[in-house]
Amino acid sequence: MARMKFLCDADRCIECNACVTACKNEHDVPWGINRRRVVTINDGKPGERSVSMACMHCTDAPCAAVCPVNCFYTTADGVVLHSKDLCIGCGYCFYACPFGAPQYPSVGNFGSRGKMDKCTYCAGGPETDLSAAEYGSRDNGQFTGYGSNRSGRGQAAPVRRDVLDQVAAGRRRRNHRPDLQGARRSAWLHVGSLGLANRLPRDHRLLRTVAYVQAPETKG
Amino acid sequence: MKHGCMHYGNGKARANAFGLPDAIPVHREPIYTPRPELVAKYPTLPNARQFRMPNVGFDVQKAAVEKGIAKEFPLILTSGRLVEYEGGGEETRSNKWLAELQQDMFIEINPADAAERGITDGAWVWVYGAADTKPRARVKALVTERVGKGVTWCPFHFGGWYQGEDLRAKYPKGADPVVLGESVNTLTTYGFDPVTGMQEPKATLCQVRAA
Repeated sequence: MARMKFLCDADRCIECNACVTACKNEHDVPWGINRRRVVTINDGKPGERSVSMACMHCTDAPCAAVCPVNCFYTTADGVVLHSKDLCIGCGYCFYACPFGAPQYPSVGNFGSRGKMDKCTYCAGGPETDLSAAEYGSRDNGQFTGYGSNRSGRGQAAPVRRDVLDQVAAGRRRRNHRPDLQGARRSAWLHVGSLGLANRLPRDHRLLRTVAYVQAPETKG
Repeated sequence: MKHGCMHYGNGKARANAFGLPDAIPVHREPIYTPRPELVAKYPTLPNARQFRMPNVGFDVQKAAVEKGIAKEFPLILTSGRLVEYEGGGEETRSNKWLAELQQDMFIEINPADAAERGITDGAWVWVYGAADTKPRARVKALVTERVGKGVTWCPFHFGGWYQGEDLRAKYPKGADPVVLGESVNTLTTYGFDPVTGMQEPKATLCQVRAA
């Protein structure tokens, strides 16, 4: 099964934060919540690298493992989502997540920090796609919904049939990056991108939506 | 061409430029220089009348050397851009998406210089400018190896504070940007381009102390 991932080419990221701004603007996320942010390591030293980080939509998600109310669920596309109706804002997922993905609308202990918010891979929440309930309200500093649902509008790039066929045929694309291959010799490939990046020439896209497909020859 | 230069390319900087004070560029120490011993050999241009205005850079440089400015203000202060903001920043600091990414005016300072002054990353510091008016600015410290020892850097996109005082109340109602901060040009010093009259807001000297 294909899994959706965002990949950032850390060799090319210049920490411009345009991805952060595009994400916040698109989903109308309040001040203080950053579903996506740029992390820089070795700042000012040789070998400095920046990488854009959000929820990695883990296969065996630690946030889901520690959630006391089981508000997490995984879609058929491998996107890890959560229900804000069920979330009690306990903050366990915040401590469990190795990527700092869970965000909260307010600062405080346990329930006082509000419902957790994180990257939804532009797929919204359990409510009906594109409904007002899914979009949510921003009153009183809270953020009850998930912002706009780009996947529901067909704007997020789903895995295209022809791309999957190419993987199955073992064809290498021009953008194929051998250094990104995982230990399981899986194939990473570029199938599109989101938001602002969509309007850039292909070769200038840094942040890519990728499908993670296990290469046929390594199956079993 | 023998030296790998072309008169319309990389050789331009070495070609005779008509109408400029230095027909071929020569080294001149900055008016506020961290190397005052070099001023005797590489002084700035003599005082001159430019357009309607006097340019007294030579006198200012001489006075700075005599007063030992470089000892009192040992750090080089440079200013530059942030990717989030534009110009003086009034417009971009009024955009909440951008303002959230850079919420404070700061000064980048090398870990060695910061350690000498007892400054930690994210702490408030006072930056003292080298001008006679004794300007100072209250900003946050960004302790980083992006700048070398003896060099500091500030973004020039901030405004709305003056020498530690928040002037938000003076903005017309609803016109105040989301974030305010000290303007780096509170600290920058005298100096004008001999041809265009452009001021020198990019490099000067300063001293930093923990606030």
